[in-house]
Amino acid sequence: MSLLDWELPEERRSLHRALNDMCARATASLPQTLVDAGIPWIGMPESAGGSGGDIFDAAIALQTLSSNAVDVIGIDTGLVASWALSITGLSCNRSLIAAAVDPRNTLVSSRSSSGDLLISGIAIDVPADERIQYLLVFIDKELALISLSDCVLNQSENLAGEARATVTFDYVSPINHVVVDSSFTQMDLLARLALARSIQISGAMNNVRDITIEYARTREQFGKPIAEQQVIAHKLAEICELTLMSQAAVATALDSPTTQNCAIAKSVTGRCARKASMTAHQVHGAMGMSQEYQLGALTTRLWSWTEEAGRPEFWNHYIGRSFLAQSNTSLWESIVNGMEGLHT
Amino acid sequence: MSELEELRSRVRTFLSAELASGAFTPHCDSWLIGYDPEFSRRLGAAHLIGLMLPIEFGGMGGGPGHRLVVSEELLSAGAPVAAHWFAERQFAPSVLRHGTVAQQHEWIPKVIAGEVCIAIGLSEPDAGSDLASVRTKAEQVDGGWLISGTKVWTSSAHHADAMVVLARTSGQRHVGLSQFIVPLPNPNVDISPIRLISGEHHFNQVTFDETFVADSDILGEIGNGWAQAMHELAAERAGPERYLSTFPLLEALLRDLPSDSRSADDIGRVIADITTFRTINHKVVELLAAGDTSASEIAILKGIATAFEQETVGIALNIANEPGNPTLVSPAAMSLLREAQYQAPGFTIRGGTNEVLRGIVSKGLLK
Repeated sequence: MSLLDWELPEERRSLHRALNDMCARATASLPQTLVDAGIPWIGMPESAGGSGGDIFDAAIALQTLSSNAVDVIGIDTGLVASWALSITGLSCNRSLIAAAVDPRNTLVSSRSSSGDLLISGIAIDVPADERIQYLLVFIDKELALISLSDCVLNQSENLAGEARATVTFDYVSPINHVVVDSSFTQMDLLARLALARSIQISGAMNNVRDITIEYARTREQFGKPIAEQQVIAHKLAEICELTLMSQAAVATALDSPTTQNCAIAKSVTGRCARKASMTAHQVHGAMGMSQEYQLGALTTRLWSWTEEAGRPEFWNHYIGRSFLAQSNTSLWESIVNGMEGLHT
Repeated sequence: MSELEELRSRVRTFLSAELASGAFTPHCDSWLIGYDPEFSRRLGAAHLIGLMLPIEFGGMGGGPGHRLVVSEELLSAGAPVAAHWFAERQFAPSVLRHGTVAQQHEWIPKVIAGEVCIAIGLSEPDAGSDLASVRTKAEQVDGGWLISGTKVWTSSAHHADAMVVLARTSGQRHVGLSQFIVPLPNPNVDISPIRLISGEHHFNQVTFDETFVADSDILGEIGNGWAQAMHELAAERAGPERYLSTFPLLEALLRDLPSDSRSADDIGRVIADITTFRTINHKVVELLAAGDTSASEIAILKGIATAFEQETVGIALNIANEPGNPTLVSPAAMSLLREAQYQAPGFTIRGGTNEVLRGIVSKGLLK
């Protein structure tokens, strides 16, 4: 299992294997064990208090945990939050941070009588519970870090039971904020979160593929494994197609993590996840519907992650509008240039 | 500028000059229906054919990335490359791999110059998806072989200088097959058109009636024809012609689209999917160049990309029928749209149906 099945450099495999081993020994304390091991801070420089490693290491961690359907609170800290903070020069040391950047949020800013920034409104689907220390928001050209304890947290869960809170901000004063370069927008931050979810989707799909193939090879009906029925074999092939497509979209974005490539990753992985999850359930028959069986833990994650951080339709619209807004650019040039240096 | 960027820019300069002089009109599916031998010669003269073929034959000796860059630039522009496409894509590499030194010197320089059109004879009336059941037979005679049988759906046979024929040389299903290079035209080869639903003539039925082929025209080893043909099919499936067949249509439709078009979501989806296909394609041609012709990724790419091509026709129809702007669609775009509609069913059939491809992928899983 890898970002692309045929390419995971040997030096990167050790992290993948180590995390798989930790997940295999899963106990109730696994989430805390992973935090203690510094997993949420992979991709954040050690000089800034992180665990070191680059975007690929952070992606391998996300992908491996997701393929095991293991949640880690604050998992976006390394790939998303620390990246945004490094752009602005803000620091947060070794804290757990969640990004509150859903396109459906209603955050607005105002100024206190002394001119200080105040933030109000509602943020939804925030991957946070009380263990999170800070929320990262983008508002009026400013990136702001907010202490979670200054907000009202309405704790809830997504379909897979992962923590997703509705957070109410009532004239909250951020602990730190900075005006960013005008070329950086809320969409850039949202796209980075979308990349994180895309990586997770791709990881979970890899495992959906593997367990579905395994199930079809073992389950016998009409006197032979159902995988030997052509209709089932073709469904397995379809899941492989969708998984490869997702891996490639993620690989494109990791090689060149521009906002457009991150948007593309979410568009592709989300659409593929919808199809692959339903096909996997169909192959499993009633078995896949059982809570005891592992498929549901993966497909419920796929469904939640597909809708979070901008659903595929949201990103398709964004990519399409961005293209239409450029005058005199051919579609082909836009595609080639959009990949920025990839395949030149 | 990197070497590949330089190459891309060279193709674009060539195409701009061609378009500016009115030398060609963009077509959908131009690698199949855009037959223009003069264009191919000019492309050859510009050293844009044979990117992966050896320098000693006049090629560039480049890697798969070089050919990919040139191919995608030509196809996205709808350039008429059909006259040399099969020759460069599968014939020359096959001659290089399996052919004699004499065959290499006879054919490869001409392919690189864009001077030869090659037809590939695989399918038969009773052998389509089940290709190994071909019945065209070759019987050994003094100094050569006599070929008898019928091939169908043979692209460009009516223009071709030669046709590679897969024929049965013994009764064994796979190892009883061999390949022959049959020079055309030939008094003992009858070529008749199979007109497509568009009414156009690109495909043929080709009948061999005890057609003599000299021993020197055997391609590769007797009995190795199946393996050779599979290698060619892998090359045929692994290219950008599997997701760019309708691209000239999309390009033409989007040129004048207002920025508030209701088709933004569809356009975003097209950009997302093509970007992703390009990444897969890049990996797949590397696999192929490394000799891995049975990689599932090749079958997967062709399957998903051609299904996408078909969907783009629906997207194009949505754009073309956007209410409120009766002059939105240019006559050129309208003509490309009709072309795409006529060609669309073939996308997921030619070169191995998507069902055959899923069979290949699932067989790989269940080994």
